[in-house]
Amino acid sequence: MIEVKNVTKRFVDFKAITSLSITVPKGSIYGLVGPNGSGKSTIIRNIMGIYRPDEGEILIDSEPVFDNEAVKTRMAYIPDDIFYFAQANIKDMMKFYSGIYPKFSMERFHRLREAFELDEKMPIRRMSKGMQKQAAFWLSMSLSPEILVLDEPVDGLDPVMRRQIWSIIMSDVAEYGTTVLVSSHNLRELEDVCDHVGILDHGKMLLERSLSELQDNIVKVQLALSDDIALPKDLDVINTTTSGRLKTLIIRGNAENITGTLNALSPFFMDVLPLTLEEIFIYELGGADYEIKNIIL
Amino acid sequence: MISINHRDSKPIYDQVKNEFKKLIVSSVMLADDKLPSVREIASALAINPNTIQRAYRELEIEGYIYSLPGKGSFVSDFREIGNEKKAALLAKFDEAVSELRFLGVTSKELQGRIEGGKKND
Amino acid sequence: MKSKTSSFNLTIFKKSITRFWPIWAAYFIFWLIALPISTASDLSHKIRFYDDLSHVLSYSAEQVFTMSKDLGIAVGAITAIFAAIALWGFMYSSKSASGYASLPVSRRSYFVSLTLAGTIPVIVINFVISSILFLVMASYGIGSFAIAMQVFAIITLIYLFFYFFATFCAQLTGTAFVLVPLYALLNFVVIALYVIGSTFLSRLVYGLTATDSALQWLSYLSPPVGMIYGTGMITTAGTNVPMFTGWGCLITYAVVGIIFAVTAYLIFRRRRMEAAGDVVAVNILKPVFKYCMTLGCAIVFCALMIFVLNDTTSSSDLFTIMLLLAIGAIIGYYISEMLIKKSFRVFKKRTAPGILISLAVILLITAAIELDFIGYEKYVPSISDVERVSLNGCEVDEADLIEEVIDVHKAIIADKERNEAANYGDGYFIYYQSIHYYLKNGKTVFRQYRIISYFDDANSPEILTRINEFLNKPEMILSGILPSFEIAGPENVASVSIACEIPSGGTASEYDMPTVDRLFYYSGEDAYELWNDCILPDIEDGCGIGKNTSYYYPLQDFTTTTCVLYFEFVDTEFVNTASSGPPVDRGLQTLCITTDAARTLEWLEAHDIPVYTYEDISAAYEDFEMR
Repeated sequence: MIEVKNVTKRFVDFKAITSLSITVPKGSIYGLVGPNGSGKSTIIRNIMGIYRPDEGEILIDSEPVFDNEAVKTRMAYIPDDIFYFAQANIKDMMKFYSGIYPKFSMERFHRLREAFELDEKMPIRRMSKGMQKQAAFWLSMSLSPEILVLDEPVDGLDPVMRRQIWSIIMSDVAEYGTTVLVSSHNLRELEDVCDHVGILDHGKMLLERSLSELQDNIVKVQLALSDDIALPKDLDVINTTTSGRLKTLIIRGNAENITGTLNALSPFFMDVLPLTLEEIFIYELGGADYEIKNIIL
Repeated sequence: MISINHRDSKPIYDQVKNEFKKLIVSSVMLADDKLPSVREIASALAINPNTIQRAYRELEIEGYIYSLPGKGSFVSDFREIGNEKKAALLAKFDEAVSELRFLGVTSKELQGRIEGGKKND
Repeated sequence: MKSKTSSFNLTIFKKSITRFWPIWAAYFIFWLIALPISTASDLSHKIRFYDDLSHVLSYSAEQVFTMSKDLGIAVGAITAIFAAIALWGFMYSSKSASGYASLPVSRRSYFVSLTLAGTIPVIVINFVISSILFLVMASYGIGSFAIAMQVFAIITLIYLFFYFFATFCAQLTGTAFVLVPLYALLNFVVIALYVIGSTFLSRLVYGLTATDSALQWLSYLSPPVGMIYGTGMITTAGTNVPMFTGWGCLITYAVVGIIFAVTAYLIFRRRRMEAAGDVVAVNILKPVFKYCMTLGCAIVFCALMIFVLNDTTSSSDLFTIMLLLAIGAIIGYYISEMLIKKSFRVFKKRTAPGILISLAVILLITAAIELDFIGYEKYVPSISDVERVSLNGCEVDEADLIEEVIDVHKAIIADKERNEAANYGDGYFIYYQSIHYYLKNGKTVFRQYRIISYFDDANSPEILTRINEFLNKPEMILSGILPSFEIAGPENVASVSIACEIPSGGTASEYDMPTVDRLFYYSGEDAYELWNDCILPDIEDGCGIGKNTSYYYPLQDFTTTTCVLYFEFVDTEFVNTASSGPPVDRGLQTLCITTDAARTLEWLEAHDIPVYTYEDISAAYEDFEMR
């Protein structure tokens, strides 16, 4: 479990992150969303113990992460800019990591070889960015990490590889209960894989929810009522669009209750529709007066 | 075994549930057939295992499946399932009825059809 | 419960060593050529010229120690910085800094592993080289375990200091582009600043001079200079094999190096990895960097401009100096701002207070110095405070002589304006008058003044004539030529050699004089008699022996010199009990005999020694010229 508690991080005179709190429950897949410059990479580096927070603390399984070898042996990190020694090939890096991480599994390394069609002897420097990312995944998954931290992981990979990689990650999550923190600015992609999301903007957390919380507590209803009937006042309607007699309402609350309440009004048309994550965010944040187009790609 | 439509706005866990329901109700999967493990589906479809867990849990609550610790999840006896199917069809029926009434078909006509249909059985 | 942090990581250690194998390889090859191979080739030539192996050993030892010391410093310092850049360079790019910092390796482990990775290969190579050297020397019959061991110790201690120092420097910055100049600068900054600063200050303060003693201990603060200065070779009495001295110096540097290493660790422990690419990586050092740059640039620019403008007076006017300092300060301040902010846009209102305060401080201090608020320029100690004083190297301790020197000093001070304005280009010769006071309370006061003489005697400062007369008084001459011990009798005069040199240099044979130019040699009673009964009384009478006219060139007169006497004195009371140094104290004195040394010339004639004067020779030879 990853706990970020009220972390502030400054670079000289620029505040990259302000009083940020994140909770990533154990065994969950947490998506960190936000536009470029929102502080995603910064907080991730803080979580990995690369940077030290100016204020606040970061705990991994209740232990502070900074300069903590015991905690970091259980974590694997794939940054946007992959690190490797200048002349190294995958085999060299494998030897290096297997010396550093006690839980490096040669068995996994060999098993995963089929998933990635990469030449172990080719210098990583000469690989395309996509191949480098695949190499990074191969090595990272071989570490048998309990916590996987991914910064824009599938950026630049073709759909087949993306699927392949997520498949491997999901398998690990299902089998070992791996905790995954993944950052992206693509909600559509995260929708399938995350069970928790947090939106970052200008270094602050706008919204942090579990996916089920989000999906269960907001409904889209298409409704046509007779003119004399008004909507009950206690309905938390976030958004209304009208097209002729047909109203499209976004209502916050339990889906069943709302359906029941609306049915009681005897509408001559009612349809309850599900919302995509993207839509949920747009409507949740709509009231907060943010420029949503920037946040959601 | 099942497929997910990523473009569908319905939540994933919902799709998973419905896909399995379809298979069970249409007797593709029979009583005591083993469902694929959470891990297999997560891996095969590249979707969140927690989501799949939730789907399985709800299927269990609704009586479609039962699970044995350490062994996995299995299809329940179909007799239990009947009620769900009934409710679903009735809902469809209501929808059809309201549309027909809109088009001017009277209750009497409808009743006749029901009776008639029964007679044809 | 926090788990125990380890202090060493084998994987990092091994990887760091193997990754940078070219450095170790180059280091090894270099020393292989510089020590064993060159020694071997040297010996193979020299072995034929010496019968006695101990001479060969002596020669070899000297070569080997000189190489170890001189090259040890150069190669050690250079290898150290390369190793530091290689091993600590991961901190200088965001990608590698993140890569390293995310690994489960504690800061302590990193520091120990990287430090060992930078030292152990070198120590091993040093050991191998020393062993090969031993074998090479042994193969020529002069194998010396002691020498090989010393060589190992010398080059290892030197390298350790420089590597630890380079490690420390590496922590201060975020880029190799700054590390290299920083390392180079810090190695020489103390000496450089001292030289530039004192040159600069001496243009403001009349009489200020860099003192040798300050230069001595300051040079230790610039390690390459200090190491050369503090080490050497010494031959013990009894053997003729030189041994290396200066272990105290090298060990002290190594210990200081360890302190640098510990400090480096403390800084590294808290290093912000986001400083990758920054000029200054430690936040508290940013203002230090800024104000050091401001002050440094001010002084260097000012000194540089004075040099370029070729001002040949000994002092510059206050306005010029202040202007140059101000320009230099502004340049330094804004360049440092640009480096820290990594942008050219630093000319903002916000930065104005910083530069204005710096300028104000610099200019105020400069004005205070020039205007002599502390009375440095006018200060002359009172007679009662002075134990002894030395004028241009001649020391006096009698009260009346001290008083004369003080008067001379006062006269020089009174002449301040004229001397400061005197321009070398117009003058004839520059004379530096130095006065060193040794006060009774143990303190010392040093002054040095530049006085220029002119072709036209009337324009030359009369002080020069006065100094010249003072220094050529018989008691001054005697104090200059007498050795530190007493010459009580013949036992103290080991020998005197007499060379028949013709006036103005040259030897008798050049002009085909009737006597062979051999040295006449006397010792014991004769030598003592010449010294005590002729030379000393002649000097007391005020003849020209020992007179030094270099204080004022126009006074020099070469027409009166005749032959030259070389005296060797021995202090029979002193016996050197130390393990090094000469066994007895000797004094040597060279004296030119002049035509007015009556008793001496009499003695020489009595002993049939030919003496030639200028008249003799110019009469005999037309083309004889005064050199």
